[in-house]
Amino acid sequence: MASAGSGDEKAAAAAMITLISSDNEKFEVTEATATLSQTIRHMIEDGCTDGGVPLPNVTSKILARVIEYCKKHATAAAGEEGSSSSFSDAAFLEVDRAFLEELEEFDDAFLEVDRATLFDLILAANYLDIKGLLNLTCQKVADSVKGKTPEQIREMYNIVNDLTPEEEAEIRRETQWAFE
Amino acid sequence: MDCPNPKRSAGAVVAAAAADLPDDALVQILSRLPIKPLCRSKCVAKAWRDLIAHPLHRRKLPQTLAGFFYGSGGGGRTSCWTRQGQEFVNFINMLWASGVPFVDPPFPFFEDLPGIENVSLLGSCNGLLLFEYVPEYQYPVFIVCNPATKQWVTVPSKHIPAGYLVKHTCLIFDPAASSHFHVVQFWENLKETLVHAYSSKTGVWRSSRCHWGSFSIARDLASAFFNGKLYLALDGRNEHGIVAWDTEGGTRKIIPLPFLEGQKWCLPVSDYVGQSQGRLHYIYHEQGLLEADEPIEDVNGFEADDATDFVGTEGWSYEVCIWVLEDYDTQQWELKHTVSFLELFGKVNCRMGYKVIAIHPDHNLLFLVQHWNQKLISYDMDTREVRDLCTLAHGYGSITPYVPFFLESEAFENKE
Repeated sequence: MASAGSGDEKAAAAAMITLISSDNEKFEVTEATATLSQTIRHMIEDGCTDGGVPLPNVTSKILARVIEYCKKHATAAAGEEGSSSSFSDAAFLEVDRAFLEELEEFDDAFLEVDRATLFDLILAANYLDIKGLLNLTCQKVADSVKGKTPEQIREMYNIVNDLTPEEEAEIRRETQWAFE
Repeated sequence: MDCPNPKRSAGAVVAAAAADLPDDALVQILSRLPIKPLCRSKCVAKAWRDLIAHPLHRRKLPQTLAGFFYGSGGGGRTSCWTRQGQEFVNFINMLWASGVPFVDPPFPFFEDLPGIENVSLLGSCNGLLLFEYVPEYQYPVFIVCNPATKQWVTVPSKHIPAGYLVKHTCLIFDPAASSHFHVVQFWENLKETLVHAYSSKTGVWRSSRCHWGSFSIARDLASAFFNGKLYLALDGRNEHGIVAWDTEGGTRKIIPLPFLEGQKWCLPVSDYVGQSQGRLHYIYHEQGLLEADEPIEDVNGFEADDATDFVGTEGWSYEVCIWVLEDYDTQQWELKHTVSFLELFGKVNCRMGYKVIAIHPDHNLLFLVQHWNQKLISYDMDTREVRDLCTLAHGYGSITPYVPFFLESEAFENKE
């Protein structure tokens, strides 16, 4: 936080947006934070955010987490803008690097959630169209699926195999190499 | 899991979450999988399989080798598209469980062209195909098309001055870098090699001279395009190499070819240059003296004077060598695999009687055509298993591997 003073100043000057969760909780966020969501960005551009933005698909528990992510990354985005427009000596780059590392640590810690929450975050990121968050959460699930057999994936996600043995054999035969 | 209703089972919260993940989100996850786990995940459930095959989603998902296109003829496990009874392009489908990728003829433009017999398939690159078409009394044109999106465009050809020979024509297209393609053509005369590259972005040909010293383009080969570079086999006076060329900087380097110890005198025939699992592969065969205890007669009782394309001397053995470029910078090759003709074809000798047509992009699998019986076979380097895939019809030519690309490209925007 302390490393991006210019971002905070900008944020203070910016307009505030109210987000309303499905359970009717209100969250005040800066426009810089809110516009990480393409969905909300378009609503702001269309001028339909007065009186708050209702998000009927997102619970307050998940929205709080999403906002936490957006705040952190909005600060990062503001920091980047600042560095490209002004001087970039070694000290400044060092600060940038440290901040990127901090951001990575933040992302790692952010993903320490149970599976149900992770899925809810994916749904929210998909609905709100927040590219970074969608990438982060989907990659986490993809990584957990990567080394698994179909049986393990089914077990992990409690999915019933409704393929007939013939259908399954067909799929295995056509890309046999993927199963070796 | 034989539970008939997972939502009512214990641990229902997680089960519901997995089942309730909308298609969009599941596609987002699947699109981040490498090709192997993606193919495996088709086996999870019907919904997963259908999602991966769905036309709406497959454009976002990585693709693998779907089959081969080849010009003229038909038969075996192939489907072909005809006009007025003339067969012109065949497709050999390797992913039969996912259904035939094309329900309609994938080449609508052929309908408007007079003289289909003047169309020939030259090659493919990352989902696009390159054809040459020679209209009557006119200069040839190239046709570049995407059979998956049915987009196509014509490219005017360069007029070839007397004394020059076209040595190689290919298409280069890297959707990860640009939605535009290049058509590249190499010409040679006695003194020099010229390269011409047409960009679909600028719509013009750019020409330059290749400074390759004593090297010239080797015959009868496939070129490979990956990581932004085109790789092409070259012959020198006493050496062989692969040139790495790109549209920005031209010739980047000539990588010397590897040979087995003590076999440097051997002339490589049936070269193949290709890409698999992100690395450059070079495939050719070598001959060596048979060990005394190796069988001399062929497994299938083949006799060398049965056909004229089988040349061989008793006492020689032939091996197909598969080399991998381990390091582009240090030009370090590694011998990945060798397999004898006996293992591959069941014959000791069949020099010039076969051709490597592809290496699987995601797997240690070779595809070869046996010219004596027109069979397309595959060879698995991991299991050493040889499989008959299909028999090609007479007149087959220019067999080109096909990995579909389902995104529409602005390179075709002047056509429907």
